[in-house]
Amino acid sequence: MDELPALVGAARRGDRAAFAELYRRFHRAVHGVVLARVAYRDAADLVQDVFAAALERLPQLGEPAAFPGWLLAIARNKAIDHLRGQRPTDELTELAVQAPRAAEVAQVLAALRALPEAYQETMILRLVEGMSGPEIAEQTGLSPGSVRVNLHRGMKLLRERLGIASEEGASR
Amino acid sequence: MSKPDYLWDRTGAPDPDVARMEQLLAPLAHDRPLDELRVRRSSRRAVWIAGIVVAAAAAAVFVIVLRGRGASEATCGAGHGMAFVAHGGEVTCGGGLAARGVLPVGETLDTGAHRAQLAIASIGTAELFEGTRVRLDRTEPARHQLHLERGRMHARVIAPPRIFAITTPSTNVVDLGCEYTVEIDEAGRGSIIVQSGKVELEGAAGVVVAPAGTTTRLLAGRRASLPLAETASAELRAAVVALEAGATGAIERVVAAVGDEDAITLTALVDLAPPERRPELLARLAELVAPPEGVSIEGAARDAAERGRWRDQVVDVHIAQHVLRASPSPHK
Repeated sequence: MDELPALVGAARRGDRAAFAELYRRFHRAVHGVVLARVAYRDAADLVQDVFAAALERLPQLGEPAAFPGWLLAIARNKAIDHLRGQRPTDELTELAVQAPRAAEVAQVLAALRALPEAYQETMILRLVEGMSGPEIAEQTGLSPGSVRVNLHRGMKLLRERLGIASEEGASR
Repeated sequence: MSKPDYLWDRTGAPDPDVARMEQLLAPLAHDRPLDELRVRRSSRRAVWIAGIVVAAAAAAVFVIVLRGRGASEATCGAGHGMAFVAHGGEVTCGGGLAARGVLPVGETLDTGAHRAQLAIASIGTAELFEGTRVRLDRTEPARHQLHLERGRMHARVIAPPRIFAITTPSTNVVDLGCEYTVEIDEAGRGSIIVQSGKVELEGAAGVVVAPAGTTTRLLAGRRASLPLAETASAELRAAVVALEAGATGAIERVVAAVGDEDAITLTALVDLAPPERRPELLARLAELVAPPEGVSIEGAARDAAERGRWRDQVVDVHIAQHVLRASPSPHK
């Protein structure tokens, strides 16, 4: 990420390849943040909206190194705005079906979204977007220590809520 | 050296729960490329608008060139409309033959023995197959509308819902942001296969939502049949044909043949069935897809808004199932 400020600077000057590279690096993080709040069917569209808004507002970004946190703040705001425009149930819309895998996906996704806010995004980035802890730290601006704590506490809570015995508990 | 920690950085032995959830949820991960079209549209005030203007200008030149070349060909080639290019030979536009041009509002394009590609403004394209006849009814920023008189059209649209619609002799296809193929004959009989996203099918009998991975027959008499998932059984397909024909006991046959991944068919049946049948159909639907919070079987049986919310839920589930089928591989 050493070159991130340079990339952001280039994107601000109108370098489309630089902006495309920013998208390539951050699209999963943005999707994870959005998916923590809105229905799966709407999340991918919102990702594009977030990057469109980011492109428009890039000149207002003070410090290029602050790009990750700034981008994810746009993502959170977009997701919240989106929910405001929805009927009440849409924000609660989850998947629930007897078909084995879809039902399980629905159950786990719902449990992830119901986690305390501090763990929600980190866990979705790890389990849905497939990012590692260090990647999450790099792309969210959180410290590696915080991400690690969020992951372990989040996983513990997730296990409890899904009724899965923890590894330690199961081996006792 | 730090202790191996699979949850943190995938070092050490995989935690079975974490690995299972990773595998389960991986198909939901984001892998779409940057939608340049949308970004361009939404960032007009950005500093680097100059580059976008160049791209837009290039597109405009393309259209102007098309118009210029087609100017001598019948009524096509001039005015407000949609640019087209014929493939394999000339097509009939506004009564004259043309290899390319602009289809004006109110005029028809007939591909005859050839094919053509139509630019749906800046939001997508429509491929017109042999024997297809379309009329352009409207093209404005808020609404683009084609009338498919007969033939086959494959449309791919990247736009907010309801910006693009295709009317046919039987059913109106309202784009909700997707890719699909519509085929129709002059009597309005045909089908629509949705490859991605979803469409609304408006007919005299009401609205049917057809999401990705479904095929829906379009019937003469301004109505759509029930959408069928690509995994639907032969029994369910036969039951739907019986229902289309108005056979006695067809509703029971459909209900009996519905499987775990056929909620999309059942939810459309709920809307089309007589009101007194709704409670039993909704009870079966609840076994496949639970109603969203605040929606009950009783409420949905009498309230179209509740049924609509439940239907949205079913569409979400169907799309998730479709995505899971299409992306069975786990993590990248």
